[in-house]
Amino acid sequence: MTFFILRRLFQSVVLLAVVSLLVFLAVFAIGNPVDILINFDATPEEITRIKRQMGFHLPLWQQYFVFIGSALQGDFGNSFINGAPALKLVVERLPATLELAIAALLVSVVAGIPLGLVAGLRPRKPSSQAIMAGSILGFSSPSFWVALVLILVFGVQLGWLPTGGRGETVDVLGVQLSFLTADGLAHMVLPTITFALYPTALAIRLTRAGTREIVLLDFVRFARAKGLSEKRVIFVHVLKNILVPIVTVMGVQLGILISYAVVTETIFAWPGMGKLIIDSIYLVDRPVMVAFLMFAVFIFTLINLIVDITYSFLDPRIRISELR
Amino acid sequence: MMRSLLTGVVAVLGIALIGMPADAQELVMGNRVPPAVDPHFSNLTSNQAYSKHIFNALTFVEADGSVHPNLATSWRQLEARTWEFKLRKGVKFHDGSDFTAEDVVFSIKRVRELPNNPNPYTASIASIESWDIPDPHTIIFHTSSIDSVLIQRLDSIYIVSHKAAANATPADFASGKAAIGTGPFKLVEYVPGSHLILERNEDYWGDKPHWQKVTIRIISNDAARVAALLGGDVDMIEFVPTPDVEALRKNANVTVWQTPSDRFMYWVPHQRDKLAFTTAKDGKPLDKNPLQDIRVRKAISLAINRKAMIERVMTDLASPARSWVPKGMFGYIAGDIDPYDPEKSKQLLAEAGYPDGFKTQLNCSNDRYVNDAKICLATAQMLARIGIQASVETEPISTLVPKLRANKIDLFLLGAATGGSANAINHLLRQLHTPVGGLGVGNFGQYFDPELDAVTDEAANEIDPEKREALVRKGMKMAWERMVVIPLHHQVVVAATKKSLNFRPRFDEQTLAINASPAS
Repeated sequence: MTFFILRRLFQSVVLLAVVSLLVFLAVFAIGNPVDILINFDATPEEITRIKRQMGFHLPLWQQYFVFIGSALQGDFGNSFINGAPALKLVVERLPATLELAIAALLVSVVAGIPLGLVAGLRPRKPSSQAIMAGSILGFSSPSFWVALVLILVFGVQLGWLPTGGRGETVDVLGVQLSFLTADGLAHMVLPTITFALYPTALAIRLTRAGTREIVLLDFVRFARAKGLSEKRVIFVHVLKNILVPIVTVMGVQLGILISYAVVTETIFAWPGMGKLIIDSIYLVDRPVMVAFLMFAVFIFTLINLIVDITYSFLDPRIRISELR
Repeated sequence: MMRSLLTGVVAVLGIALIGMPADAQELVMGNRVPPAVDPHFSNLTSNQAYSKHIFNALTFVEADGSVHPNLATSWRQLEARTWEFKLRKGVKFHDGSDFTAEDVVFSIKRVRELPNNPNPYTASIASIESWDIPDPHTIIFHTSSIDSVLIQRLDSIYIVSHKAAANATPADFASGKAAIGTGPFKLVEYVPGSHLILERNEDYWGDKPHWQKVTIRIISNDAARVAALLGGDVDMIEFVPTPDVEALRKNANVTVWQTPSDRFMYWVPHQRDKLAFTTAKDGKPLDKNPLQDIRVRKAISLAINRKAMIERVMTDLASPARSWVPKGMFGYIAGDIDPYDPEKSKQLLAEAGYPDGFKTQLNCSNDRYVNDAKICLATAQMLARIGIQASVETEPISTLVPKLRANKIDLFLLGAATGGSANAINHLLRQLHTPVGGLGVGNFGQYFDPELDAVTDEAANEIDPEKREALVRKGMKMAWERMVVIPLHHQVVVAATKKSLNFRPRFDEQTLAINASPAS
């Protein structure tokens, strides 16, 4: 097991190094930030002075090593827009994004798996057909459109829910959380629905496909033949065996929800990392863009690692085959 | 689980339905761009607007270009290059300490020395060489050249406390620790990306603002900002997206406010000898740059149907430009608006030696100015009618700027504002002067005109305001008649509020809480 984890850790470090190079090259290609950001009123001398002061006159490879050197110490430079340390800006926004992502994941698991089970066990019933039709809608509706329609209906027309923002928050160990206040919860409803739509549809499909496959297998027939209650057959024998792919996919989904909350957060003015990256791209805030991308890759790697470890527990075959 | 979730949702809906009674002294604004909070970091219009809430500068510029006392009560030019400012007495910072000349000196030094600042405010005080402080409420500046717009430019140099901001980083301002100003509001909290809360400075030296508490929410998405206003989550929004203006006007709960912006939109015909994309129709190189010929520039101007452009592309949210600055500002001239006349245009092209027109490329941003990409496309179609075959390239301003700084493009769309000075001399000095010693920094078309430069220099060196305005007008008129750029229009600043508010938008797109008040 230790060997398994160590190997995965090593792979993750290599991945981070490669990504750092790609990210750096990509942002470097945008152009010299001083040329882009400086006021139209600046003189050429002033532009040269600031480029020198900020180290943008150096050749690409030198800039990369300076960047890697400070990145290893957790310093991704300061934001060009408000001067705060870039990594701090990103990490500060993590709780807001995490809150929304976890809420959405919970909704998708709590709603998606039972619905998928129902659809998988009785595929011909009209209710199952309706669930599947709904999941297609969930898959194919673009989230910006869903978000705007939800805002229009519940925020503007009916006036039941706020149109955006985080609402009142509670300070828990220095972290601001919305879900502990009624106002905060109200602010969470619409973005959570928007956010949960896709992973719920995904959970339904995965569960249904898994269920349909497994109910036909011998061990399920045998369990039924043995006279086990339908409840036990479904919840112990069926569910346990379809969980592996669902855990994997939902784990990756959490990573996607955290890293690419861009559209939902921007439209709901939810001050998470997705809104930060959009604001940063809009204002060409290079250090924040880089810090965000590196952080997102880090989160993805971490989640993948956890997923790998989790399902090596769920399915011993994976653990053993890795060892050989 | 399901049950408690349901109760939760019901409770939430209930609260939202009851609604919270809006405090009459509370204002919630929806802004587009997040603040830097540090008034010396990142010279953006939006940051200047945020700074004006918490800090004061020495002077204050009104929409007509008139300069008013702020932390300085009066000023005079002792000599051509020496300015004396009398500072306001009895002004206290938010922490209770006294404002003196020491804070002014500290702020000027900090603007110059703040590290890692890719967009500093240094250009505004570039001319200040040294200073004397004869007493704590007098400061004398010595400038390196005769700086006729110094008092206008000092409007953007915000004064921070030399004690609270000693060694402060921008992060110390964002946290509120160093954000100690003398302005009408105190900073209560800033939650990055989410909102900024301000409270009234009860000891403010000037007119106290009506609002006891101001919350500025940062909603960068245009549709979301409009939705927040319609949903009643905010009381007012800035930068109303043009397609929504008509619908908001018809909405009985909303008032739309607008004022001409000092942002002047124009095409820059590059004057270098060899252009990159401009060729004969068959792709063969031309022997000279056609844009150097005033007849060609005039032909382009006559080919542009400004009326249609403003009606269709700008949905009437623009006014055709008669001068680089809109009416009412310092140095305004009522220049001619070229009519749409394709016949005369073709005739001029023929006279200039291009009876069949030529090929060129239009370069425009697609995220900087109102409808910039659409203006680009519309212009290309209009030029096609007189035989100029123009391809269109639109891109984010961040990739366009390096191209124009490197003189790589031929005919491009730009917008220029007066840098908050509401004074046309800014354009003469920055966009129209030959680039030399800090002048002509915005002359991206490389238009060099010694006659115009002479008038501009004379205006800059003139101390008497009336004589100076006459000279500025003369320069503006020359630039207009020589068609240095092909003028289009001035943008309009649009804000929207709830019906219960009055609001005064500013020409420079700065949205200020002090300009909002309850409608009586």
